Amino acid sequence: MADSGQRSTIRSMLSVRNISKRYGDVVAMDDVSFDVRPGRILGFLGRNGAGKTTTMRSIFKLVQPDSGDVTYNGQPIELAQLVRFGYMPEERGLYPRMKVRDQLVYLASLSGMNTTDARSSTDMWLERLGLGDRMDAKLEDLSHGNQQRVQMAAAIVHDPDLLVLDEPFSGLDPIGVDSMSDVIREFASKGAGILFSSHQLDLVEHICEDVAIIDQGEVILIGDLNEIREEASYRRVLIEVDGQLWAPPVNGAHEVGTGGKRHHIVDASVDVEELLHLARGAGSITRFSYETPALSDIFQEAVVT
Amino acid sequence: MTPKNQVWIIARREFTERSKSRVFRGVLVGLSLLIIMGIFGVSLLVGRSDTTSLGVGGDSLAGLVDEIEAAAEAIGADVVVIEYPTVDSATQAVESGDVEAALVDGHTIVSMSGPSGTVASIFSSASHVAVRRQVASELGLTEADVDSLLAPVQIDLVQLEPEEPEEPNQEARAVASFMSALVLLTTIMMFGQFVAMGIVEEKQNRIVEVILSRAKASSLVIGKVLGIGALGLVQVGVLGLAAVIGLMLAPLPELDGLDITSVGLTAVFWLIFWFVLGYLLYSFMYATVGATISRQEDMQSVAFIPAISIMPAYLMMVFSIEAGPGPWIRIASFVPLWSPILMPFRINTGDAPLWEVAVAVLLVILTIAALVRVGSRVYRGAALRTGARVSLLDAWRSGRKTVVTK
Repeated sequence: MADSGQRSTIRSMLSVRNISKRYGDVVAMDDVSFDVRPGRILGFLGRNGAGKTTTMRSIFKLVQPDSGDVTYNGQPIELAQLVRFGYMPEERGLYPRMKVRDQLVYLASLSGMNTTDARSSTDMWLERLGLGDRMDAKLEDLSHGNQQRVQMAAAIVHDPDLLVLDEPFSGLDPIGVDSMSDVIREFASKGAGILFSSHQLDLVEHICEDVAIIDQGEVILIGDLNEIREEASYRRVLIEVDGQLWAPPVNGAHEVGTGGKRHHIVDASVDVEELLHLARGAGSITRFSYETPALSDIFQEAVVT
Repeated sequence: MTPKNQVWIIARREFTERSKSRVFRGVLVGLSLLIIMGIFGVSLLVGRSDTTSLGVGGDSLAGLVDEIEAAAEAIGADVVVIEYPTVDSATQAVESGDVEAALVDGHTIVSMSGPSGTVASIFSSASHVAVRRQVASELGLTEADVDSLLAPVQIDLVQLEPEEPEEPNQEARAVASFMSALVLLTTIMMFGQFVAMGIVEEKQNRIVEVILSRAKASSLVIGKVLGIGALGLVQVGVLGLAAVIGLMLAPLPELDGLDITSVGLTAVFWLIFWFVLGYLLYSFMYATVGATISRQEDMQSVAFIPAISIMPAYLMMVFSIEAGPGPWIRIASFVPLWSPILMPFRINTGDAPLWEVAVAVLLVILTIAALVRVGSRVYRGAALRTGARVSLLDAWRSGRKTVVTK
């Protein structure tokens, strides 16, 4: 897996180029462009109705953009490409009365796996997701959480090279969130490209490597999440001296938050060493944190401005 | 992975999943038994011979029974003569229906509502002969003289206005044609409706998006139609075979040189042939209209379209049974929407030349090809549209395939 320093030289796997779509007066996508690279996890963030689902459907040709195009390894998206993708639609759905194992084998076969591989892959994933003893159960007889696990398996059972997951964490319990995160990381480490959408920013903060923020159909911020955070104009500091919140005496520092979440914002140019030095001068330091802005901060700023 | 492989995989799933249904299996077994038993029952009714039972009672001359049998044989009637000791007992036998009529005291015919001409002539000639035979023997003639004196005259018939050379089983053929058209109509509509329901079900379950992200819309529609159609074929085939088995087992009346099994198999062949064509035509129509709705509850609002398309064929067929085949049914049997019902009907009633069948088949196939395209495109345009019903035109427009770039 390539580190972020080499990122810009990594070839693009999925290229979304200038796609636009309008439904009457509603602009669903406005000149949307981004790349999904092998081994990288791209978080596609936006509020409800920002255009995430329309964009993802465009990748699968489920929506025909008015203009622009989508390519995969330089090729237009045809059946040969589609069957190498794994898709988890926002609207979850499987056959309620079909046995779990049968439908996963069916979906894997449909994506071009031979029956033997489809069976062994199905069994492997069902075991891993803790459904080994429910393979022959009908989907409708499973609990909601287990149905979500089967839905996840449906997206990955054919061992795709590209995962497109629309709100993969919605409706999952904390354990489900963890196993979904594990699956995403595992596929990325095998070199698969991953695009997933979410509006739950705190949940996906530690999974995204790259982010693309979409608002009203337009991509308004895109890039490596760590770089974006580094490039922010401010830092969050939380310093307690003798158990009390301490206000850093630097230019432009101001207090934000309420109650237990109170902390300060300082200019990014403020040196950490200098802050530490000043705090030591004020008394005994009981707490010290200095952080780049959270994903939610970046999102708020990008969307509001 | 090619679209063809996907069609096969999709069709196989439709077939195997649906054939697991207990309802499907139960209906199939139940209908088969019903058909076999039905044919058996009908043949018992039809198979009863034309034997007429006649009675003789009271004081009658010796040998009258023999004379009645001889007289009946002379005119080709099949009779059984039962002797009763008294006039009353013979009369009771007529009343109870044991015999059609009775000759009592050698000169009175007792019947419920007047004897048929045949019965009257049998009785009168038999009693004449019996009386004369007695008189002749009293005159001292030998047995041989009496026989030659009373030998019946062979009478030949000349008809100036001969009846149509009616086939002995004309009526049976009409019934069979009607029945097989009815089977076609119901199975085409039933399995067509299954296709529409399957399509709506997938929209309702939302699995359609999972499938369409890895298969073409046309593959899904065609695979579904073929899989469900294969199931329909199994049903029609099994029911057809049940009918043939019923015909083989049933105690049917002797039909001169008619091989009932081969006639049955030919009918089953045409049944299956037209089921395939009719089903393909109507199932793509059902698929097209099914794609425009998202809930089973809305089914009625679209399912009437194929239903009113096929119904005129049924009505015309019924009318033609009443009124006899006219030129209009010949013309109507070339309309692709109606051919699957009317052509096999005409084949079964025996008035469809092969070239007409071939032309109708060709027209139906062309219509199917067009409906596959329309259905796939409408489906592509409407598959992800949930909620209210989508208009056909709207779905057609948004189902366009070409992506406009730049």
